[in-house]
Amino acid sequence: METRLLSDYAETTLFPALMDSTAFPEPDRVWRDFKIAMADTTAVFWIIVPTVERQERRLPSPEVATGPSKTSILPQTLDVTEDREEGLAMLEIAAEAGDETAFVQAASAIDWSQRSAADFARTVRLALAAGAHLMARKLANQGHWLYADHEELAKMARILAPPRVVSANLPPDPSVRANLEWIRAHAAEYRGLWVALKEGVLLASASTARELRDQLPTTAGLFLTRVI
Amino acid sequence: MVLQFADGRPFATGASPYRDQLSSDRAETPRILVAVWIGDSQTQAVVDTGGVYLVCDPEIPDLLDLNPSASLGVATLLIRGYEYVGYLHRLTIALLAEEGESLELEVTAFIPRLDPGQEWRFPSLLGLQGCLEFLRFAVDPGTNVFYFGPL
Repeated sequence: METRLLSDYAETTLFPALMDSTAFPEPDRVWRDFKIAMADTTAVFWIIVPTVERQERRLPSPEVATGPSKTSILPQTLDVTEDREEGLAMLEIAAEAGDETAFVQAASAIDWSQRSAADFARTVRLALAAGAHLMARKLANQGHWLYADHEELAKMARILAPPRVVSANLPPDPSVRANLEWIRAHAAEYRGLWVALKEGVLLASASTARELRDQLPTTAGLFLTRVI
Repeated sequence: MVLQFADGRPFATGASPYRDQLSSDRAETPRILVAVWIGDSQTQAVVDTGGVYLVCDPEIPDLLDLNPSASLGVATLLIRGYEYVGYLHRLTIALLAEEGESLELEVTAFIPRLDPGQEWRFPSLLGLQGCLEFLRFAVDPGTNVFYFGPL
């Protein structure tokens, strides 16, 4: 029996460099005792050390903090009788736990030059579940490069591609200030509603975006927002 | 050119006013709420440098006529303690300049799909990865101006 030590994955604390409101998904799962996963006919067996069986979520008070920190712990010991999926089982575990760091480490240990298009597509989906968004982009791109005719990988690579400047010389819009000023002045009055503005003038309001659109002959060029 | 390096190269080519408060925010936490084009209409979104993607209000698709088949599977994001499931799309947006030049971008957008009874209590968010990551930007909190420009 081969034993892999996963101590690198334990007690990993992530602090986003510039924290604000969005963070990656985090697990609610509490690891307990043993877990068995089946990959085809091959059993993969993990032994979970009871003393590290905790998953913490430390959410900030919205009144005082701008973003979450998270602490996650994955199993410290992995006993593998035979992993026929050559590392993908580890990715499944990390994705299920929502552990971005463990996912990236496990994905980085795999030789992707020999993997199938289906493996790439599956792993991109797992990366998104794990919150490993950069790894998802990297694998989508690499998979598309290796399998240019694979439709799903092509879509993944296109949607996850780095942002691209389409045009850097569009004319300014002098109505920007007027619309934002209207929101500031009337927020209390219209809070929770959708409003349509044009150059700082209210055209319509409604409870939902769909109702707002139905009131207007066109929404093109208008400032449309929920007042928050 | 709105802001420039000492050697004259442009740093930011557009400048836009921003709101610094959400009306519903009792803690009066400072925000950077800017105007953006999404599709063929404008809306407002908070600059969120700790976030990923452009996170849209879940009702935005009702205004955009998005093609569901062009989206990417199911993704999950934790947004200020709340977990949301949704779809990823590729959208074209524009940061609106009051002075200088507006900037059109192709970005990755997350569209939340709310479960029955689930609430959405945030503005749209302009995250770093997948959205603002290759722009230069700066903030003047003295005049509430957001500066931006391409790399």
